[in-house]
Amino acid sequence: MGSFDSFSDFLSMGGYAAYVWSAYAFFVLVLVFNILQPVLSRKKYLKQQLRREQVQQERVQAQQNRKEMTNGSAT
Amino acid sequence: MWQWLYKLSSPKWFYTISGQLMPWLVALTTFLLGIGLIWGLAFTPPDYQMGENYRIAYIHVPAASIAMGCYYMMAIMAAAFLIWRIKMADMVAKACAPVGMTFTALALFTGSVWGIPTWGTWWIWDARLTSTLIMMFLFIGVMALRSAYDSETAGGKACAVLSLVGVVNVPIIKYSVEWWNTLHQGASSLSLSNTAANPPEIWVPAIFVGFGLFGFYLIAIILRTRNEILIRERKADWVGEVLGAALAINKGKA
Repeated sequence: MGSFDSFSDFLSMGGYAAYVWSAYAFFVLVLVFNILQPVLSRKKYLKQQLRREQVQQERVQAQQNRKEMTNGSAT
Repeated sequence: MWQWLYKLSSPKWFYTISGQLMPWLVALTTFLLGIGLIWGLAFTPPDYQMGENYRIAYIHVPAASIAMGCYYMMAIMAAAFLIWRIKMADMVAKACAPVGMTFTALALFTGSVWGIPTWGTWWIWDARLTSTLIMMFLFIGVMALRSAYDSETAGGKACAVLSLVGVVNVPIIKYSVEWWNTLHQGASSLSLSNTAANPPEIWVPAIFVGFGLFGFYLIAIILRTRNEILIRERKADWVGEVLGAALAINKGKA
């Protein structure tokens, strides 16, 4: 393929495989990190907001229940 | 253009425009990086001195120049935040630090790995290497400084001052190879002639990777900035709607 005779030739990079491929591996690492980190932190934040919303809803519900109960006992 | 910039300084506008832009940016970046990397790794001919090892250049050079560009961007945003109190500028500046740090680390790592067989050493206190290392420490310092503040505004101001002081280092990186006679080589000239040291078959794929990586850099900045907008503007009505829609999707999945 291209400038190399075979795929194994390509992988061996003319004897520089360790250097070339470790450089490209670090490159891939940087790409993955820069996408994954913000995406995961967005998910985490959304989950937090969801929980906060649920807690708030439960609180409102509990308050309503209490009101109904006290109203019920009064009549 | 000024009006467009002015609109971008509104978090809502930034969020909307960047959201619309994102799919195009991702497509273009994937295309450019894909072509450039395959071309550079497998199809360009080997160097007559460095053999196949020079292929590291296709990521080393753009990573280093984008890291420097990222520092400039952080400093410009810092200035905009200090002078005009634009909140949006501080959010972008905050996004610049980790992205710039990883790009600088990439430039240093690929350079080291390249240096082992070519220079016979992975590190030397050469002017360019040292000033680049300082830039990485500046990015790390800006992140550490921000995390030391509880107040978002106070932290933003402190980071802005540090970013502006550190900007003096970037031209030093750029011109270090001309000002001092150090080990790192100067910029290679690009020539359209096929007999030149760097004929088009060598540098055209580099242009692809360069623009592709720049696109990736923009994506990385935008992703972080959008998160920051959702967090800082969570009390705004429009963010409530955005969060509501996102939460509805999450609920559906669960």
